[in-house]
Amino acid sequence: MGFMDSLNLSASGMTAERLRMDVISNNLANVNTTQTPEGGPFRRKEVELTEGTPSFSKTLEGLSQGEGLSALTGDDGSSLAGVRVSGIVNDSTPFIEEYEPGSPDADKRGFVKKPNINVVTEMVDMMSASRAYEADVTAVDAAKGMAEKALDIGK
Amino acid sequence: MLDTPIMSLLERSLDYSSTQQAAISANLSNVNTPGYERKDASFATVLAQATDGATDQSAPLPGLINQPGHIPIDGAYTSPTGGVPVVTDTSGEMRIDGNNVDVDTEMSKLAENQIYYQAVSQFMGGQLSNLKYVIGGG
Repeated sequence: MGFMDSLNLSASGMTAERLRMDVISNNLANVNTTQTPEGGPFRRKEVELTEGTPSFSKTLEGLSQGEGLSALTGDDGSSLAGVRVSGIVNDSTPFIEEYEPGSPDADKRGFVKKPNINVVTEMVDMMSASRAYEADVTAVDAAKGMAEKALDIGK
Repeated sequence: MLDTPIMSLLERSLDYSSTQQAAISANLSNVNTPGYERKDASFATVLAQATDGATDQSAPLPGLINQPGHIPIDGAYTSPTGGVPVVTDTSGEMRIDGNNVDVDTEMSKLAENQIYYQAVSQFMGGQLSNLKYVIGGG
């Protein structure tokens, strides 16, 4: 387990948080979009995160160095593998209906279906993504500091 | 000359610390993953290996076993090799999504681990500078 591993683990988190940020930006940009190619208003998107699995190359590397699988996975089967984005999914909550009889998108009763996006929820998600990103950056800085200290051994 | 029990103990400490750093990185990158349980480097395993391989100080010439092909002799010090395993921590307050990563705890562990690593590497540097001093004739 070298420092490159811990940098890669942090990088997986940073990639995931940045993608979350992209999706949140997309949601906020489309907060009033009432027409989409699929028809109907824009549906809120969400990022689905799962725990990663150790890569094949990493497993092979461990085996070829004679560490065996036990070195990569603990006695209880634990291993370190960062985070993986399993997909961007639609939020299935109902659309918001607003009374705008003059709108070209209004139905017979004069209601317009608006995207199921709550700006406050998006803001909270955005803060959570940015704080998690900051935590990952701190971990990268710590790993870098430790690697520098290791280089100082024997000076 | 460098294969002293203290050096291999320090090496192992650095191994443990860098695995712990990777575990903290993994925990922080999974802070928003539903159902994720936090990981730690297994200190218990490292401690058990260290105490199992303790040197017999009474041996006149203590040997060192650090390769699989080495023949064990009386009082030989077994240097543990291979990666440090990780364990899953199921304790701690679970959030509603089943994730038990607490950023504050991870951050304090990160700081602690960083200082630990610095302390061990400084000590190791001290060992080497002692050696350099002796080689230079004082």
